[in-house]
Amino acid sequence: MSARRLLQLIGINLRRDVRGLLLAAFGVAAGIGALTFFVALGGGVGEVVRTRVFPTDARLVEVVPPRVSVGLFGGVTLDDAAVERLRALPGVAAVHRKMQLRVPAVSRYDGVFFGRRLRMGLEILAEGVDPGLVEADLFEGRRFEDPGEGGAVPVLVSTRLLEIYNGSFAKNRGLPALQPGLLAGFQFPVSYGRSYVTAAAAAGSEVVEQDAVLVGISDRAMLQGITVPLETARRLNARFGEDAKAYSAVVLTAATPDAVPRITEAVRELGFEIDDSQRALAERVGAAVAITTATLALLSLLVCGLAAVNIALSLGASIRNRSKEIGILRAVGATSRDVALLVLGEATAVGLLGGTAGAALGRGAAALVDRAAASFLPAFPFKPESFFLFPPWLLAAAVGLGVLAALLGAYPPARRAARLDPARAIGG
Amino acid sequence: MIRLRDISKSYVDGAARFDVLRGVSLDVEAGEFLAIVGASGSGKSTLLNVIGGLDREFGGTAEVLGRDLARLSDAELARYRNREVGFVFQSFNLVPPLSALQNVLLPGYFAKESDPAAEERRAREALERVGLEGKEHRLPAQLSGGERQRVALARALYRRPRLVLADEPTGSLDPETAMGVIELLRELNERDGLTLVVVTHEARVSQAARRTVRLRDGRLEGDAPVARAVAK
Repeated sequence: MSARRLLQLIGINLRRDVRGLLLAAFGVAAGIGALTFFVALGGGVGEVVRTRVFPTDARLVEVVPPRVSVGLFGGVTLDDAAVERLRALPGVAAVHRKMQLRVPAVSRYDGVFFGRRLRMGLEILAEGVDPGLVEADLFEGRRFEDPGEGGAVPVLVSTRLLEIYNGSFAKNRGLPALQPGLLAGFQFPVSYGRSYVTAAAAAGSEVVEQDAVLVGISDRAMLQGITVPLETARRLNARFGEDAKAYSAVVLTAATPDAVPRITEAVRELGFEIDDSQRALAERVGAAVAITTATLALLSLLVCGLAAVNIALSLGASIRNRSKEIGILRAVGATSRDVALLVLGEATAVGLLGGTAGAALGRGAAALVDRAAASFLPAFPFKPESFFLFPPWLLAAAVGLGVLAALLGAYPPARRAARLDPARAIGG
Repeated sequence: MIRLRDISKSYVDGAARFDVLRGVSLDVEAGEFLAIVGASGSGKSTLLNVIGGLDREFGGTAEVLGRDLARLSDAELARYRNREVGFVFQSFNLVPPLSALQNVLLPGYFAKESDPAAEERRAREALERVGLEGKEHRLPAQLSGGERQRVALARALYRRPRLVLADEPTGSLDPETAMGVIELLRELNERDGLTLVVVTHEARVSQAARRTVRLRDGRLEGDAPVARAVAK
């Protein structure tokens, strides 16, 4: 039978029981709608976790000194010689050093803060990094290099820190929410060698007063402090008699993500450790999101399964009612395959209708939830514009799954119809 | 054209076994108009189903138009029914949601080689031939019994089969309409040389046929082993 003729017969059969068609398609639509909604929700939340809460770059490997040293002459240190050994590892495309500021520091702000009067003291943590690590995130026209003793120190803050400030801190304290562009060039005082919490504050030791100026927002900046040029950290550490040679971490950029496992192994052979705490945390949160999504998706699949059973029952009843007709089709030249194709074709139409309606239903429900969240949910850190992610493949897969569920349900009646004895069917 | 040898057919229902056909042998030549008569339950329709390739499970040999029906695959048998045989049933057996024209066209849906325009032209001609021009788009429910049977006849003829098998074609019709259908069948046989095998228990139909054989309890009565024409 030609495809055109098959489609004609399918159309005629579907038109004769529109109510039954809609009922069967509704079951599929409910399952597919729920599935689309939950998978898109999992995808959207996962995307926020991956790109905003725990942004990670698959090519980066953060090398840290070993936490426990068992060597006869002390542990392995991350000094310049070690950096050169790391740079020479196969697959390493770039090396960026990090040095913790080993001196306490505070900021005492007393002035106008974006239109509000602000008086506040903060303990400051700082980390120096090679400019190459963050240069892509600098505000336009800004430079990231040590100004020496005189000028303001260029600093970057973490994208996530800004998100937490805007979503929680600013709101609770009545401070303005800040956009990255507004912050360019924001200057604030920093006192190095002073602390609100350690003995150094009361010791009357030397204090270096040097302003900091914000030159960028970066995913690679430290979360709980400010990121300064490596040479600034080195200079201040040396000034206060702290270790200015050992690095707190070295970030290796692999040429390709595939090279990461090999590099990781080589780093460990050199006696260093890998700090993958952020990645592990991201993976754990991602796994929690994935498990929740999978559970809800399974429930939705169950609804699809029930829809398939419904199709099996309704098509089964329809086949029983139409057995004489099927006998006639066989008498005028239909093969068993033609009959099976006819039944499966009807199911495909049900699946297409239900799958498309379900995908649209899921998409519509997601839009409603997003709109409600925007209107009724208060701002919170990392609150996305949309909680859902609808890649084109999801909608295509939703429709495909609707068709598959319908076909699975239709298979037993199609098989039964194909095996009908035409002589008995016609004879009743 | 038709060569049946020792055809037998049984149904088993639990422990009971029903022999519907018991060693039926029959030859039918091309262009014959054969009536198979007999009481209800004598096996007439079963024999027709065997000849038409609707029933595949039987004993003996059934050769029609040079084909051994028992050896044909499902697809070959379907093609045989589509190309070579036209069926007419007592209860018309039209497909309710299809119009008269679509019902006639139905065999064309399953034809391998298909020219939709030519198929439709032929279907309209077949309807015209049975006197149903102007009623092409009516549904079976909108037609009288006689008209439905004529649609069924048009469907049987439209693919220009070499053999038409009719099972009680006048059984559901009033006498006047039945006579019209009988005349039509006779005309098809005499004018077009169509081979007709008609199962009936009505005398007026068997009288129209050029040859009659009788089935009783699954056995063919006549000059066994091969039934010869019974001169009218």
